[in-house]
Amino acid sequence: MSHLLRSRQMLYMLSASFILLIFVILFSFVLLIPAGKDFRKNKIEYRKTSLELNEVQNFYETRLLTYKDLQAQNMHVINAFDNIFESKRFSAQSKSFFSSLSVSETSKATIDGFLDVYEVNSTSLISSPTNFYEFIEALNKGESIVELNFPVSMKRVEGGVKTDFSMKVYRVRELNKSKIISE
Amino acid sequence: MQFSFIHPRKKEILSAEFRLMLFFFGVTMAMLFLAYLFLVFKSFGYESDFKADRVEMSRLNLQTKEINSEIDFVTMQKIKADEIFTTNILMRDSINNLFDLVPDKITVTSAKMEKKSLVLYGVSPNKEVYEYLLLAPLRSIFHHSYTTFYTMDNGWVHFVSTNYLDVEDAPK
Repeated sequence: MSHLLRSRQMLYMLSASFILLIFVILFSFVLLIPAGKDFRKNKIEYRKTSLELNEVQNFYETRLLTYKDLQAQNMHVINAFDNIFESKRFSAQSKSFFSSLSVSETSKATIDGFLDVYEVNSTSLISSPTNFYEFIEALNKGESIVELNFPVSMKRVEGGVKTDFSMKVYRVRELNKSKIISE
Repeated sequence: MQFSFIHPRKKEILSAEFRLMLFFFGVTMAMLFLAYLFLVFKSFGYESDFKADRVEMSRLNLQTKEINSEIDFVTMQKIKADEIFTTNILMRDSINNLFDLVPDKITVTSAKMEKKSLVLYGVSPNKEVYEYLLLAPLRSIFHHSYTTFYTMDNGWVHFVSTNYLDVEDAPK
């Protein structure tokens, strides 16, 4: 009787072991191994993406730094290209170089690449050519980008030298700027 | 009648060994299941992380592109401004050189500078002084020089000097 009972327990054990074996095999092949493969694939992808992100981040920071440096170095130029030229204001700022100065209103703009170009004519009286040299140097530090243009005519008159000259004023075209940035 | 002093053993369907074995089997299955859950959650975590990284990467790429455009634009402005500033300085030097060119003995009363020409009006004690002291340096700069003289009442000469550069040598 006892022998029979032990045989039955043994049968239970063998059956349970067999069921466990089948469960382990099925569980492994159906769930565990695909999950492991996904895990491995995602981990590799994550590491790869992390490295790429790091590179992109570094490149972005380098370019941002370059841009900020460039912007800081050329702040005068950037602001000057954005400024609206006003003849009266220009005359007031430049009058120290001249005995008298008259600046015409800006002409209709023509287009030069990304810039609007306005023509301005001036008539002035200078006490010596040195004042005119100083005025030209001051143009390069002015609030607007102004180019002295030919013809320049100088005539000795009573009280100094009458100087007629024209200037080109450059200003960034707003539409063009937004287009360049969006490209 | 004879009695047994041994207590009867309680008979169970599942023996203690079998139950112990089932316990270990249970532990094994639980471990397998936990391993599976670990893999699924970790995998999901990695997947969300790399998807978020990709979104961040796209954002950074877009911003880098915008910054590059801004850099190009500022560079263009800088180049144009340098060009204009150089033109101004050249203009200043040209006018300066013109006045340096005129000797003390000659008086220039009027000057008109164009891109490729210079017209001077002035007074000289005589033609020779003009030719030696002003015409010679003008000829060294310009390709063509023409002068007209008018004698004044006091014997001095009034001159009109017209000077041209060939087109390819003209300043832009």
